[in-house]
Amino acid sequence: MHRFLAGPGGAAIASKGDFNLTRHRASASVGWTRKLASRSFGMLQAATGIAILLVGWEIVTVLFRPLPVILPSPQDVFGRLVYLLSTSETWSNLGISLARVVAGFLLGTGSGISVAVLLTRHPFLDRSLRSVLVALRFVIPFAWVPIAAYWFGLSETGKVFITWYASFFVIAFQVRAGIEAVPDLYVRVAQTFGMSRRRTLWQVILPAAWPKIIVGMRLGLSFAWVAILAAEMVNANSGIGYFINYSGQFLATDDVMAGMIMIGVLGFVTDQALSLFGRLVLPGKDAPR
Amino acid sequence: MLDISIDNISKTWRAPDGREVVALQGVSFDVPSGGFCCIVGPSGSGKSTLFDVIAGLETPDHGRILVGGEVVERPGADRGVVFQGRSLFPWRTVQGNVEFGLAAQGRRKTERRHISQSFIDLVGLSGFEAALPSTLSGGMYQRAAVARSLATSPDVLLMDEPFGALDAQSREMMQSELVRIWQTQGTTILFITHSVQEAVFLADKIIVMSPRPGRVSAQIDVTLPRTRDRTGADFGMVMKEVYAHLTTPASA
Amino acid sequence: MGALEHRLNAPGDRSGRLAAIASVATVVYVPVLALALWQVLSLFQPGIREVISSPAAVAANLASGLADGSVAANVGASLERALLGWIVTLVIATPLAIAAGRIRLFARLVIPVVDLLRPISPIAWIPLAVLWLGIGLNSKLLIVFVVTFFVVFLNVYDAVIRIPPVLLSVCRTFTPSRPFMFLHVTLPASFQGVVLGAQYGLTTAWGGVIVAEMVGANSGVGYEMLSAANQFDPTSVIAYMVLIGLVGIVLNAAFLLVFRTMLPSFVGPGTSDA
Repeated sequence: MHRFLAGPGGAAIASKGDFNLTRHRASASVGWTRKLASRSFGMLQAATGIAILLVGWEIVTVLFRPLPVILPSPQDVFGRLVYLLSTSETWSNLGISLARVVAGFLLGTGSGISVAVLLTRHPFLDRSLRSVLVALRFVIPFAWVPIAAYWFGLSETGKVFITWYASFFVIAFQVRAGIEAVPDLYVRVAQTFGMSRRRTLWQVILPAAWPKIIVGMRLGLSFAWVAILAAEMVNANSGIGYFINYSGQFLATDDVMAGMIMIGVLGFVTDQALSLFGRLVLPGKDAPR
Repeated sequence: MLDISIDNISKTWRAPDGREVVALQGVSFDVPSGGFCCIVGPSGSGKSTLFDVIAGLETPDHGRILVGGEVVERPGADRGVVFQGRSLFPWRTVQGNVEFGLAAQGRRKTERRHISQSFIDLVGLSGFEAALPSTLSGGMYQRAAVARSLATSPDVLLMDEPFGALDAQSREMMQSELVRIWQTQGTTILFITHSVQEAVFLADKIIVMSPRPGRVSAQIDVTLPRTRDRTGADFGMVMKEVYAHLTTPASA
Repeated sequence: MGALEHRLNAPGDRSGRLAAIASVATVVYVPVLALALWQVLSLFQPGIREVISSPAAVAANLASGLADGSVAANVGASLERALLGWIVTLVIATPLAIAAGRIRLFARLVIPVVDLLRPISPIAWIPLAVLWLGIGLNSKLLIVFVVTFFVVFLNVYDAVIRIPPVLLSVCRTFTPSRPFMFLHVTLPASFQGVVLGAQYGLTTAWGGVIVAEMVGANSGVGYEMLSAANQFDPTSVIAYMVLIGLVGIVLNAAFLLVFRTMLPSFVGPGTSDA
């Protein structure tokens, strides 16, 4: 299954100082890096990584003096970003794209969890739908853009269809894996209390599978963000993805990069929000990172 | 084979939230060369921390460890280690695992084969050389772990609750096997356990530790003749003595 | 098991054959029904035919493409780019991910950058790819790299940090040599994850090449699909979508076949296709 990790969390590596894990570290003694392992320091180091990237970028710009259209300097891009954020048009674009991503993601979560539950409950359905699901997984959202354009015309449905499509499969598969990983023991305990199947699902199975469900949701959200550019190729005239697409066509490199930064930040923020939501709903061990 | 001297070891952990935990405070004792020493204590008494310090995986805040009169600060070939839990390399066969330390020492293939075979036979795993760890029962698994640690002929063998995951009968059988191996090899053994019965069965010397802070609360010499009878009256008396020190707080 | 299967498994000589037919039917009936529905809709609703064509038309399109060799040529061109991009990505991402997994400081620096770049679609990289690398193979490889990198990196990184710490401790008790630990513990212990990353990377690269062919291509499945889209030819568009899906399935299956036969002891429960 998708064992890879969702979302940012460099801080999480730094701060989860589990006592038992320290027994088997590769270094023989408590190093200076471990002493910095509190959450705020973790974020500082996250910022450092990005700072190093920025410094490297600046150095390249200064050393090689490329044409701004080929590689704008960090100042150019951030200047452009500041300007863009001062226009209401940019904010409305951000809002529209955010709405499309969130809508597709929520639909993907709802349908993904429902389908996963159905598939684990009814092996017959599982076998029936397996061929379709597996085949569709390899047809990337981008490939649906022409058909979505023909089918949905100018409506928002076309764009949300793409973001939904991007998140649905990964959520469905992750949630299914999560449900299948719930120990039979838990279900038997529920049966000894005479719990109905519905209550068992909601009060035992889904909570037990919650960490994997959250991982799936975070992956689904990140795929929805990647898909927003494709989605906004479907007869769109608004949105950050649309903005990046047409800026790209005019080779307005600084706008393209400013747009990428905006999406990167929005993706980060929404992922953190989702992760927080996951911890609030069921506090305890987060998805390992 | 070498003796071990634990000299006034102290170690404090700082948890990420800032709390300080005194894992070990002024721990001192000696293990004679070729001796079998068990460290018994409840959870939180610092047994595992002490184990890591002796193995060289952690450095103490104060004090030192001497093996054969020499101070040790990091892991070394003189101290073989058997960890708690699943420590075999799952992608290597039994023989592959046993040869691991020999490979780390740079020995040639024929030499590795020869040496590892003799230790596989010693621990009673003959015929299972090509088995993968996932196919082994609990007792066999730990035998392989012991063989791997012994293959480099360490002077000292450190064992951290190696039989903890075994069922009661396998555990007792492995204890007898370990005594047999020890008597054959003469290695100095330091064995951590939370089972008083296990300690009394195995050890010449029992170190009782107590928690908060982790320290030695008693050193008990066990002079019962081998092979020991777990149901014997004198065995029970030694157990009683150990229990007495486990439940009462150590005097300052 | 449903009642139907119970009845089919009733004793008698016919039960074996019937059970076999039933299990094949189960897997197949949904696509067959869907295709039938699609065909019926396209026959009776002319508006629909213009938008999503019909199975018959798509099948005919594919058949003629196969016959005249265009399918083979386009799939070949795209596959070449995808495989190249995949290999380049593996070579770059795997060592980086292993380093991040084993060196905490490196991880703390690199992972935030990875996380910030991950939500960015390959489509956004297209103008940059063209400006930096022109309209030849290299810019397409960059696009494929940009999608495939994250999948490979995160899977390998995850595998490395999941190495049971006790195994690393065992190694340390025998030797302080880091190269020895890397070669004899880190690599074998994370190998399954590396293989999984390569597997997901392969199918991701195949998807990425479709996007990459927006950059100055004149051949390839993605290019043909986009041309057909621009000419409002849904039949061809769908035909190429079908091709994309089929090749994806075959690539995934081929990879699993190779690795399951070559390295049975390394392949664990993680390398399924779903």
